[in-house]
Order: sequence, then C-alpha cells, then structure tokens
Amino acid sequence: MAYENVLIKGCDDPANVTLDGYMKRGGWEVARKALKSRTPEEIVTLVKDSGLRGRGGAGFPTGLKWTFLPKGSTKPTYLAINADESEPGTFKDRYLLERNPHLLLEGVVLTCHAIGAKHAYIYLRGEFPRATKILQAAINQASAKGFLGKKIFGTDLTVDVSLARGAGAYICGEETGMLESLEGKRGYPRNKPPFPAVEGLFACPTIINNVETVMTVVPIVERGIDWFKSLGSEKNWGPKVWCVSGHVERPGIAETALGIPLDELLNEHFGGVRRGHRYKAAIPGGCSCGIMTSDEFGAKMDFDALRAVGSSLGTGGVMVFDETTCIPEALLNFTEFYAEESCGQCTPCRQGTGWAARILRRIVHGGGTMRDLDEVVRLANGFDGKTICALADAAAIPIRTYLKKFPQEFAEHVERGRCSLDVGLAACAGNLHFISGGH
Amino acid sequence: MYGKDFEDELERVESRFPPERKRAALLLALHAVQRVKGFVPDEAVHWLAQRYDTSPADVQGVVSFYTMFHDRHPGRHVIWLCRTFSCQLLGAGAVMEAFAGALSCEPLGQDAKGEFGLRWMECLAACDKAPCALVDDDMYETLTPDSVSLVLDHVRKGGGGGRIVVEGGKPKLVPLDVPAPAGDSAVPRLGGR
Repeated sequence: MAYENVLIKGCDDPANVTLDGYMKRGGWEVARKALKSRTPEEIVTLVKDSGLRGRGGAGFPTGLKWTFLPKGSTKPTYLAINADESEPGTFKDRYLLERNPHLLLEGVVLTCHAIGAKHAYIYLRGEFPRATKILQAAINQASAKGFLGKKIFGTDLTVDVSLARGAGAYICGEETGMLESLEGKRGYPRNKPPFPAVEGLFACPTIINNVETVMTVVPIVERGIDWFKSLGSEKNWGPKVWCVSGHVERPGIAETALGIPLDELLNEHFGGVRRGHRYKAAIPGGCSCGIMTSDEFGAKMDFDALRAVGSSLGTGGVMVFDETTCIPEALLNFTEFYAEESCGQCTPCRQGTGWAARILRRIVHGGGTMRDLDEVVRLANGFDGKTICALADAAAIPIRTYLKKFPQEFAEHVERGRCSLDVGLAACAGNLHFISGGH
Repeated sequence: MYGKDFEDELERVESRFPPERKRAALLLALHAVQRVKGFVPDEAVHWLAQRYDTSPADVQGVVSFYTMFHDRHPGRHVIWLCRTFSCQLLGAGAVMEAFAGALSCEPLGQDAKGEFGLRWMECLAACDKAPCALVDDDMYETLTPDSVSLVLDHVRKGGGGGRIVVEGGKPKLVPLDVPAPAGDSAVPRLGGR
C-alpha cells in the first residue's frame, strides 16, 4: 500500500502557509470536531495508547509525558513547543514550520485541550527569522478567525499562542535550557528533578514537545490508533519526517512510516548515493548519533533497531557520507561544534569538549600521536554522564563510535600527518583552518 | 529609548508573558535593540536592566551567552555562513574564502566600510541546501565561491533571500519557493547605520 503523507501534505504548495490554503485541504477540521466531541482525558488516553514517541530526538512516549502533570495544581499549565531545531543534519522542523504552520497550530490547540493549558509558547531558533515570520502570520490569521484566543470554535477553551526567539545557542534545544531562555536568561540547563511537567516555565507545570510531535497529534486524533499502528512496528509506530543531506543525489525531505530500512529510504526517496560514488557511512539522526558503516545500512530506522548497530534514531536527520569523506575530519567538525556549543556550566563538558577538539585537530592536521587516539576516547568516557544535561554525552558518542568503526583512518592520519584521501571536496586540506581556537 | 516603534515593539513582546514575568521578553528586546543599532550598546544594557529590575551584569550575561547578540558593531549586514558538516562537505570553507576575497577582508572579518561582517554559524538547518548562509533575516542557499558577489549585490538592494542555481555555466540567484510574509517586528532594521 502506498504511503500517504500526513505531515508534509501540502508542503509543496506555497499557499499552504495561509489559513485559506490549509483549510482547502481540510485543515482545522480535526480540532474543530475534537474540541466539541472529545474530552481532554480521551485525547490524552488516545495519544498514550497510540504509543507516539517524541520526534525531537529522545523518543520519550508523548502521552506518558502528558500524564506526569500534577493533578489539582493551582498554577497555570503551559505548553512549550521546542522549535529550536539545531541538531546538525536536522532540518525537518524548519521545513514543517515554513510550509505547514497551521498544522502545528492545530496540534497546539489539541494538545492544550488535552493537558489543560491556556497558553502555549513556541520557542524558535534565532536563526529562523523566516519561520518566525511565517508562523506569526499564521497565528494572526488563525486568531482573527477565532481558531486561537478565547472561546475557540465557540467552546469555552482559551488557547493563546506566543512566539519566543532564541539567539544562537544549541543548548537551548535542551528542554530546560530552553525554559531558561524562554524566561529571558542564559540558556543553562536545569538540574532534574524537578521535571518540567511539575516545575517548568515560571515554576509552573509545563509540557515540552517537539514541533513534529505536536503535528503528529492531529492525524492521530483524526485517524485513530489503528491507522497509527498500521505504520511501523512494535513501540515504533507512526509517520516520520526524514531530512537527508550530504552525498545523496537529491537531498531534502520525505515522509514514510517509521522503521523503513536506511538503504531503502536513501535509494527510493533521495536518489541514492551521488552519481559515480559509493556509500561509506551515515549518521541517522543528527551528529549526536553513532556513525553507521555502509554495511549497516540495512538497519531499520526506528528507536530500537538502530541501537543494535550502535546508533540511535535521534531526530531523523540523516547525513550521508560517500567514499571521499574523511571520517576524522567529520569527527573534528562535530567535536568543534560541541566545544563551541557547550554552555560552560559543568566543568567536564566545558573543558572536556575543548580538549577533545584540540586533540582531534592535531590528529587531523598533523602532530597527533598514536597515544592521542586512546587519549581522546578516555577523555570522552571521562565527561560522559558527569554533567547536568546530555550535551557531553552527545559529544562522547561520535568520538567513541567513529574511532571504533574507522580506527584505520585515524591511525593513518597520525602516521602520515595528513589525510590519505586525495579525492573529493572533503580531503583534509584544513579548509576550515580559520576557525577560532575554541575555548 | 530608540523611538516609538521600538518602545511599542517592547510592549508588544512583553505582553506575551505574565505581567510579573516581563523580563522573559529580554531576548526579544535585545533582538529589537539590534534591529536599531546593529549591536547591543552599553546604554541599552543599562536601560534594559532598569526596565526589568535587574543588574546590568545580568543583562550583559545574556548578551554574551548568545552568538547572535553583539557587543560591538559586527557590520551592517552579518553573513552567517554555516560551518557544520553537510555544509563543510559541500564547500563552506571555499565560500567563506570567496566572501572574504570579495570584501577584501579576512575570513570572519569585516570589510573596511563596515557594510558586511563574516561569521561562522553552527548548523542553520538547511543541510539539503548546503552550503547556506543567513544574512539579516534571509537565507541564501546552495552557495558557490563564484556566486558570492551575486549575494552581496542582492543584500545591498534589499535582500530577501534566494538560492543559487547554475544556468549555462553561470551562477544565478533565484527566489526561494515559499515567500516570507512581511516582518514580525515593528522595528525597521536600521543596523546602526
């Protein structure tokens, strides 16, 4: 049976960003009906029983998270949408925000109804001014029509939606870093507990969900659990938006059921490896996932199956590397990213990611020793799991998996003092040599 | 401070938060300051600290935490070129060098007139359109070293973003396929000049 898009439906039509364009496709009808016919408890149960897992990277069950809200709280409950998509290789949320903003707002209304929130904040990356404009225009249109604000669709439900903007900090994609930033502060992640569901934004109960997750609530309410579980496999149900970049013929966006094998996804939806080349490796869901070698591409793209090959689904942001790619340079690029984006709160991360980047820089650009190869892994093991948030853990994963799966390439760099690849754009000419020295 | 548009904008963004939590609007206020001045001058730090009943050090701490806030003028238009791996794979380094060449400045530098500043940005979430850059509010995609002067001219004429395509062996700038609506800010982007 051919897969029918539900999340990127209409995204190729520029008119879809307008209220009229969206409503022509039946948009806003799910919320209109559900607000009148379904209780909040029914929607929470529906989403819980569907087994929907968060699409922001961690894969935590969404409905279960909603049930963590304290009962009988006298404080307001907030919904905070994490639109701070900044995991390298991930661009699905930006695509969805810029092309299907009303689906997000419809999902926000349904979610607010379910969790009893009257106010939702959408926290967008500072680097998304375009998505911010498009979403604000969508909010204005939906408010003017009575789909947002007070007495939505003539019911007693109030949902105000406000935008907030970051200003360039990966750490604000971490949910408690995002809350701090939403409160107008430095985006330092908080210690947990208390978890945001108990004490989140302004110390009030707060549910934080990713853009794609909240969008997925709409087709679940519309089509039900049987439809949802007709896609994917046990504990990994539902639709998924993939964003693929790097060395494929047609980089971009596609939607399928969860659990499609990586090679099928790449070959059928993205034109396969770029012409005249062959696959070498890929990361399946942003740079915080373990690397997969090309002989692991038969693995199913879901939260559980990828663990078997030492990786994880993450965001579904796939980066594909062909044989011209220098793996040590890839690792250096990502490690410099973590060093730059470490918020500095915890010493193991602040110092460790910077040291790791410096060691990798000498491995890649000459001056490294064989001892450095062990040292950088020892360092990664030293900062992994020792910090407030998961940034350090995320930085440790590529270091361990790249060195484990491509040890020869690192050793060659040390022995020759340079890259043995002399083809392609990625040859280690140090083309980013003017990056500052990190921390 | 900075005129009626600016103060209206501040009240508008502050109204998104509970009255006793007005300070939550600080990042949005700093974005508004930068639209006017191009960076966050000390006078704005002190003024906002007073407005939100906090210390200038607290406000300055927020300015220094976020990459997109500047404590000195970075150039009228900041070219944020993505340096993360999909863009690097497809030649971001060479594009940075080409911008620097076209502006007669160092990579990550600023031209002599202060018109453009060059910066690296971490993943701009347009990896399928690598290499890409954010300039003011606009995305420029699938950049090549020989297309940088097209981008500079486009920005000088008001910008709006675009994608580089090659036609007949020559680079051409075409508009993005989803047009952006008018700005969400009431403050005109003056950039301090």
